[in-house]
Amino acid sequence: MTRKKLIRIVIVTSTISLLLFVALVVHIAMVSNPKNKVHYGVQLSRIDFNSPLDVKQVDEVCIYLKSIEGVGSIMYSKENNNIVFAHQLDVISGQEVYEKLVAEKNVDAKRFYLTPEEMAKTAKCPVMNDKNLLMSLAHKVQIYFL
Amino acid sequence: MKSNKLTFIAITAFLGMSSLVTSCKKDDAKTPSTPAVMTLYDTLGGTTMVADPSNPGKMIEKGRLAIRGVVDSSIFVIAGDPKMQPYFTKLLAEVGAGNLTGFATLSDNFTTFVATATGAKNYTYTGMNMKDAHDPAKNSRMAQKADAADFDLFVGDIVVGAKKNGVPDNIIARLGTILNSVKADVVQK
Repeated sequence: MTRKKLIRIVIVTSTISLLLFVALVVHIAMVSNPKNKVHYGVQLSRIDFNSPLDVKQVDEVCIYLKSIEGVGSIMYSKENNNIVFAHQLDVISGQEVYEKLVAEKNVDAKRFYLTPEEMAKTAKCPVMNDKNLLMSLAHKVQIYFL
Repeated sequence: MKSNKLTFIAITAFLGMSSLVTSCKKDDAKTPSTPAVMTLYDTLGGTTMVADPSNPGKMIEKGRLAIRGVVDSSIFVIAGDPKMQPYFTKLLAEVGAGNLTGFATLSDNFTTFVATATGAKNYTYTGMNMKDAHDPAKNSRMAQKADAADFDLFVGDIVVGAKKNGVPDNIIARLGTILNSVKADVVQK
């Protein structure tokens, strides 16, 4: 095998490998774009009530929360005496929703808030494993290309 | 020699394009076939493509849509359950603009996990196995070992979420059986 032929094989192989790698990166960029996630930008927040609410109060609170722009689904838990709501982060924060509710409905409540210390020692659901190869590659693609 | 080269380039290009086209083609292009055994995923609608109500203009498998509904409702229940808080703290942690929230991430990952467990073929769960995932020695994100009571509370929250989503009892029972099948791996104290 001549040297010239060897160089040609190396060039062709490298080109094909490069093309396949580019195709893989483009594919990952397309499927792992966070903006393609269904609930992109949707945050959950919780408000804990300090005293039990009656049915009428629950209705009033839910109707009021639903009327706030950027607030989506709402779920009141009678057992835990709290309310969990979804809101669009780019429209309104959980704190703003809480302040509006307290000011408008005069309810005795506090917003559930995580301190940085609590965040640091927290565990998160083990179903998410961002240390595997696929997730690591997807993160890198998101950082550099998205 | 020249024609050999051209043939080689043409074959390479054809193979490259074929792999690209087949790997990226939509699943709805497949010819629907009747599964030999009805999985829970099939019962929930299976691979039939329907419009995604939460994502205008996009399609989603009916089975995945049903599971996502249950998962999302269950996440709301979990977020309101103080006893589950130590395991799902990130869920209520507000993130900066442009980042995926705990809700978005958990909904997507947990939906894929349950979809795969119930028989979905077009999704792949890429997380750790359940035993390692719940072992603090192997998974640093697991702050403490889960006990049977916590696991039962978790399943209870899923059931509440499913009921709020209008899932029939017989389907909930089948889902419960699937969740309980990993109990031995999850409960480690």
